[in-house]
Amino acid sequence: MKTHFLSLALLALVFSACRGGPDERPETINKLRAIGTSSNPVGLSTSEPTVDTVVITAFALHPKSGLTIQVEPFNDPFATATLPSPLVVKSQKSTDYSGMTLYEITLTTQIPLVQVTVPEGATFISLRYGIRLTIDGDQEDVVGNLVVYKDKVPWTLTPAVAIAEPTVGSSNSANFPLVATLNDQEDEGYRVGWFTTSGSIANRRALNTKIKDVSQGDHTLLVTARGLKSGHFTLQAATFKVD
Amino acid sequence: MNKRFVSLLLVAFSAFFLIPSGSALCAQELLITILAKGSGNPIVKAEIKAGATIVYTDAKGEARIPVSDPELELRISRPGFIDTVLEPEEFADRKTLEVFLLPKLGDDDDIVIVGKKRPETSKKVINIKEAAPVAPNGDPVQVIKLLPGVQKPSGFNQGLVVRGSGPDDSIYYFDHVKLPFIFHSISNLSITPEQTIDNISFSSGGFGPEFGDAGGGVVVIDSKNSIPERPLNEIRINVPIYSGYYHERPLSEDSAFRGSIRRSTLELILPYVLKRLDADNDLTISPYFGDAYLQYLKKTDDTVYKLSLLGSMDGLKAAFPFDESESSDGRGDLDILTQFASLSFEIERRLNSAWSLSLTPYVTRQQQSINFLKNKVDIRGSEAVLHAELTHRRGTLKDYIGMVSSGGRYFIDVFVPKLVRDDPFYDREEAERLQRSVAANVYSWAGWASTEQGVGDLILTPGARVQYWSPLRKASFDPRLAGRYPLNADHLLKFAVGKYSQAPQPDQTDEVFGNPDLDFQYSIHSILGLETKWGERWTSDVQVFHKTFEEMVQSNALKNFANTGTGESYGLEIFVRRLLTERLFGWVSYTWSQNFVRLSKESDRTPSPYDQTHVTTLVSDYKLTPLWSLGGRWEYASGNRYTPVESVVYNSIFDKYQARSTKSGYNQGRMPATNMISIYADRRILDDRWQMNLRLGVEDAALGKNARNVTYNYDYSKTEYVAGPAFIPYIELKATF
Repeated sequence: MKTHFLSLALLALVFSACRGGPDERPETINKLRAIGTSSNPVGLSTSEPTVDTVVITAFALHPKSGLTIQVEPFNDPFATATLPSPLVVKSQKSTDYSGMTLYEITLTTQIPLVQVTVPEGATFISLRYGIRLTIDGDQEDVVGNLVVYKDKVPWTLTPAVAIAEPTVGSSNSANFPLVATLNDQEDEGYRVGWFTTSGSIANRRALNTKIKDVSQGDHTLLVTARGLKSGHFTLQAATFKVD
Repeated sequence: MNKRFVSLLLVAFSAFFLIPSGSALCAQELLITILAKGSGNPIVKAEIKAGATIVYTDAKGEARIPVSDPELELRISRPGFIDTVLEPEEFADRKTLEVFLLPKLGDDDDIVIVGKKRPETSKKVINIKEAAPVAPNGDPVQVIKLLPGVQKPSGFNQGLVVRGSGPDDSIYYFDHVKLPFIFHSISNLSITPEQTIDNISFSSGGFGPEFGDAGGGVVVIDSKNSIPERPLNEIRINVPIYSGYYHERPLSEDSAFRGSIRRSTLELILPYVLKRLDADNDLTISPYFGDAYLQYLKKTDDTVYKLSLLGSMDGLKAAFPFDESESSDGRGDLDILTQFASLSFEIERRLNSAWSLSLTPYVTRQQQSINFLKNKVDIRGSEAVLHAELTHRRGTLKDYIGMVSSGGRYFIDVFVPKLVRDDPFYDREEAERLQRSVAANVYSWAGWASTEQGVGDLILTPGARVQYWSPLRKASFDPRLAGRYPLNADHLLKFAVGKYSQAPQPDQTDEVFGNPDLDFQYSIHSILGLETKWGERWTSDVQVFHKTFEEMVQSNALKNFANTGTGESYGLEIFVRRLLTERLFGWVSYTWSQNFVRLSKESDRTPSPYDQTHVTTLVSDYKLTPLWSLGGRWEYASGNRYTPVESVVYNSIFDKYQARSTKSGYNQGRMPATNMISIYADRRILDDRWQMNLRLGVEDAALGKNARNVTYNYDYSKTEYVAGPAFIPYIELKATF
């Protein structure tokens, strides 16, 4: 028996211990940040070919306001299966919050299901798509999967995530708890992701965690949730103040 | 004469001659004992001169010398010790006297260590006297890392990387007991106590058929076979790493006991240091290790018996911020434990002048457990082994035949992400955990034979090894050939060629996580070398080597693992050695190599992860006085390879950034070179019957970046090299009594 596990574990320890300073933390919104994609419908089925147009929405954050985001589809060279038709950019919307702007970019694609073949022995096929976002010198290449099932789509109910603490518009100290709620209607499990315009979050994957060292002024917190089985995506933002 | 008077006369006569008179001894003779200062060991054949009278001490260091002349001084001398003169008043009216002599350095003319047998083509033998002073951390076994063919490891793996072969490809022996590892994973110290070691031999390739299941190097640590003359105790305190105690004693004229125990102190000091460096640091870490060794040695005229118990333990407990943590404070817990123990009974018997037999039955017990976040891996195993070898000597040539048979039972318990191929959003972070418990019996057997045949001055050594491993249900056959030819008195040409098979790792053949249909992987070694003597004190060894790797086990998307990989390594090694004399020894080692790998037949040839073009080491130890010595080493090595990140995407499925590299970019990056220097000063403090060694040093002072690995920030937009500590100062205090 060899001790290679030990060396890998120690490596993980070193990597994780070096999380970086405030400017290097994944929850900090200090440049263009893609935060997720959603699709409508969330999945397709070759046994129920009633829908052949899919709307994909990409979400991104930027610390500045008043900017226009450039969007173009791109092909992921590592994908084994891709969309049969290219993505077409339809519209984009921006919402300003304290210290950040939330961009929602809508794209559509045609999925002629007769052209999609689920491999023999499999129950689904994942069709990879890619979207390149560019703003103010920053660029993010975003990839996601559109799932086509052989039988009917197993997950249909969309969840909702909400920030319970801090309450919207509240005043807080520099350190305070974060609480998010989630109605997991189909009990599939969700991955949570917190984002902030200031401060360090202890565990950005936890519904209940805490934030510290938030600077004085008006700020925004945003929480995302994506279904572990369905790929459902939902988010909520809340502004708050530190005195 | 009156009978009574005669009787009284006879009694008085007897009393005068037979009953020693103190006043008579003191007046005429002195019982003097000459001892070595610092140990109190008797000095044999010390010369004691009183005027024209000269006497020599016996095995106890004792001698009787007449001292009737009150003006006469005593002169005591012995090579290796400072001459001592005693004035008459220092021993007047004394019956007995102990004199402690201080050691003296010689003229540096005589070689202290002489090679005792012909080594194999790429084999180096280092005596403990050379190894202990200059080895990293003062740990003699680590001297192997300073020899040609050995590369500087990347990351934190403690195994040896030898001529392009990875850390899992070398094997380690303590006498005939095979060890799963030789260095503590915490601290890097060897698990075998230094005080029990006689020689350390290392072969970087082309070794004989008595060793197998390895494609890299072979390390053999020979324990002492000598009976100590008297009890010895040694206490060692190395700040901040560990403390230890060693004891040896003769039990009789032909038997002895040795024992050692060591325990780390790092876990007591490190948390305090981390807090002092950064009060807000949310990393807690507690590394610990320990080892123990017991040996009973008995020697008869023709047999050496050795009963040995060796135990080793390494552990690490840590809690640290981790993105995949499930706790609200964002910290993940890590708990690692590695334990090993062996009980062996070695019998070395000379059957007659030509034949000798070695038998070593032993049992081992091993455990490795890792708990990390929700994941758990626990592997335990016990094994019984019998190692036997029969040697036949024909003048200076020898033949040998041997076998090793082992049977063991292993238990594997894992709780790890279940691989689900039918989940479009499968992510190992959130995947359902798989609880799997496996119990397996593993049997292996190997047999070998080799013979030395003289063809004129050429000595050819053909040999072969057969081995069977039950998880594969297959056997391998390894033919090997070595040769040595003296060109003249100072030059020796040598070569070796052979096949070296190696079984896959046990977890690679598991039914669920591995592939039970794997085959042996093997390498072909070809070596050509020239040994040269440069006068009485210098030797050199220049070698060129070539290795091909076949049927290498690689990850496979369909089968988990498959024998699809191939590789090639070739290079040049130069080893120049100044033999150990009274004052000075050292060596220079240089290795140039090129190392390549092909992950499958369809893949391009890329640099191997173990490709390290230049490795240079310079070591030296010099005794200024009998009490002071200085020394150090300089190490330079090309940086280790890594695969650069070519592009990054944000994967919206997992809310993570993923680095991408193409197969053509595999191992194309190279970290900065390693350039380190270590220096020490050693001071002996001698009292009559005990001594202390105080060693002050700086270990691995980096003259450059000293990068061990590459790390990235969360979106791979920044790259950093993980460096070892800039330097490690230490103080070691050793008391021997």
